[in-house]
Amino acid sequence: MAEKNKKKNSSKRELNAVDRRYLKAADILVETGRAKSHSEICISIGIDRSIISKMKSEGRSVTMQQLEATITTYGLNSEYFFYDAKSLFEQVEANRSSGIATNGDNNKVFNVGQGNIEGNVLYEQIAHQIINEAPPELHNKITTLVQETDKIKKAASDFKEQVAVLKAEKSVVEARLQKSNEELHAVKDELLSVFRNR
Amino acid sequence: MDASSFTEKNIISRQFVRAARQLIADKIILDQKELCTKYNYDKSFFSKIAKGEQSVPYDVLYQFVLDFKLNPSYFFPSQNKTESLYLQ
Repeated sequence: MAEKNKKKNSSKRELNAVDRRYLKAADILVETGRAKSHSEICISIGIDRSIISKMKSEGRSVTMQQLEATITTYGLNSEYFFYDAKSLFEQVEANRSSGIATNGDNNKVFNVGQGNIEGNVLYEQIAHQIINEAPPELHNKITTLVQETDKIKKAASDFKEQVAVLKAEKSVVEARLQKSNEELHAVKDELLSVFRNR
Repeated sequence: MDASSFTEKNIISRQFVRAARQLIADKIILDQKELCTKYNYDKSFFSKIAKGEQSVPYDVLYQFVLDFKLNPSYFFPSQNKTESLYLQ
């Protein structure tokens, strides 16, 4: 068993720079809510859903097609995968039309353009930009908050399910009560008729 | 070479071939052979990619981009958007 594990560990390839950046990008896509999970990323780019986890566990390398599909599907900045200190998300278009830009005084300004982007989508883009431009410490805090929010959402969803189950049980009990009530009324009517006949 | 006439295995390989030809035209490298030698490949490596017999390995593309300070977006073109080969 130990030998088997040893063999498994030794067969794991060292990840190269592009692989490491790809995995980081996948994490950011999930953290920022652009994808629900690594599996969803895989499915959306048309590859086996376990590829990203295999990259992590087995040191499997990203393929050019996988990288290209991820960049185009999620509108990512390809420079991120090749050069240091590059933003993962394309910012040029957002800065020109809507989103965050820097004015002459080096202050951040929000541009809510008059394009055809719906409000929620636009604000989501701005939120993503803020998160991406935040310092690592703040980024981690935001990530924690996002995870906490997800937990709360999950708990709310569980409660909703429980409420639905309880409601179903309630309606069954109500139906039973109704039936008992009708039976009791029938018995009462019978008794009354017996007494009247006497 | 436009999109309709390319024979390379995929769009990235096509862009790689175009980029290499551009580097030769700009006299940054001498010829395809120099490129093959630089990345420790047989001299037929480049023509195999150009003919669509093989894809450009990503480690080669990665090193190629870094060595010549190229714009990665050139290799991953989005629709209706022409990217320059060299970093601005």
